[in-house]
Amino acid sequence: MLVEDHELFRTGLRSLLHHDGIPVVGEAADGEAAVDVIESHEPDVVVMDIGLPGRSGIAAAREARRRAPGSRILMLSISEREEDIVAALAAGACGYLLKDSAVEEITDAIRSAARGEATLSQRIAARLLAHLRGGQTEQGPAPELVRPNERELELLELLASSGDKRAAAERLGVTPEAVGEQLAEALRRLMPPAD
Amino acid sequence: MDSPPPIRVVLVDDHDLFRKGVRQLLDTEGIEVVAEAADGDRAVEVIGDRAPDVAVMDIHLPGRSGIEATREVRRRSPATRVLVLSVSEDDDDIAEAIAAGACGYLLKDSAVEDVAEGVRSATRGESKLSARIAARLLDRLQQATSSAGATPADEVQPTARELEILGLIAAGRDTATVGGDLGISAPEVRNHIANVLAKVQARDRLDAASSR
Repeated sequence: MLVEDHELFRTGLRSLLHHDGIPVVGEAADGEAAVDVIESHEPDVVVMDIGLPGRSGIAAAREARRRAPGSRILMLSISEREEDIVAALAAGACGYLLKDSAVEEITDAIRSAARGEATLSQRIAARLLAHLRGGQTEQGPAPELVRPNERELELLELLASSGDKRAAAERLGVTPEAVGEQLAEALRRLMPPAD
Repeated sequence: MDSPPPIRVVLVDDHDLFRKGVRQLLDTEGIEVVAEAADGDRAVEVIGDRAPDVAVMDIHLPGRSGIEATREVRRRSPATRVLVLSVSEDDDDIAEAIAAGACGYLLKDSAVEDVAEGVRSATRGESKLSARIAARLLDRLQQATSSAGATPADEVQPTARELEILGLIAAGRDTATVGGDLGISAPEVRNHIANVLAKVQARDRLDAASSR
């Protein structure tokens, strides 16, 4: 399902996904409508923009995760801002991709999301890493930040430098799918809901 | 009966996803994207090679901007019309795009039918502007008229009818409706818009020349 207020981009993306064998079962152009459509259609994956009129994509993601927990949310945005990334992941998004990604990255991310895996664009992984590290003060990590363990750091570092799950998988000696699963676990642990 | 050959377009935008999506959509409208480019330099090259009817050009590109590229394309490949497709509603971007020779300016929140209409109009020498772009342009023209200083020569002064049309487009009416209201055809409406753009372009050249 697609949530995006720029019709041209949305319909173009729908067209591309159909062409690639990914049926789009619903669309919405604002946060309110998005949550309703997600609840009624229960899509496997929702591709959600952040900048929406009315309720933001992040607020919509939070609500959708509550009402339709079986639907995975993949953020697709132009924003690389730390606060957006942190808020989206804390809202329960299983991935965050930039709009300048290649088509294949998006379709791969959608398929992985349907399998319960997570995906981050390279620059997003880098920002997240910086955010998690940024909490390190002389006294130790900032209280509200969960400290990443070695494995999580290694995973994020590999994704931040190559942006490619296959490359990360080779380095870690696992499958790309396992990388996606480990990332999903890491995000759940490191980015708990900010209530 | 043979259908007319498809209009040939080169798409220029730095977002792969956006380009590919628009390409698919234009295909359903019978418009063929013969090549794509993700930056200004490549755009000029590809357009020079493929000689499309229309280049659909984003403004904000890595390296050479879409406006620079537009200027260069109009110089080197004058048979290729340039339609700007951007997120920017910035007055300077609009002014520069027109000065560079863009024959139309659409926002990325347009519907695909609008982009198709923009492309088709371009091939006929007509112009299409998104409503908010027409509004910005109208503001600028009205400010220029009311500010002190020499009035521009008649040939570069939009007529009352042209300003009226611009105003109706700015209010969100589509070209067919505007035509209906004024008793003229939609292509004639778009022709008037083209005239306004040509005048604005000429006026910019005069301003540039006189300020040397």
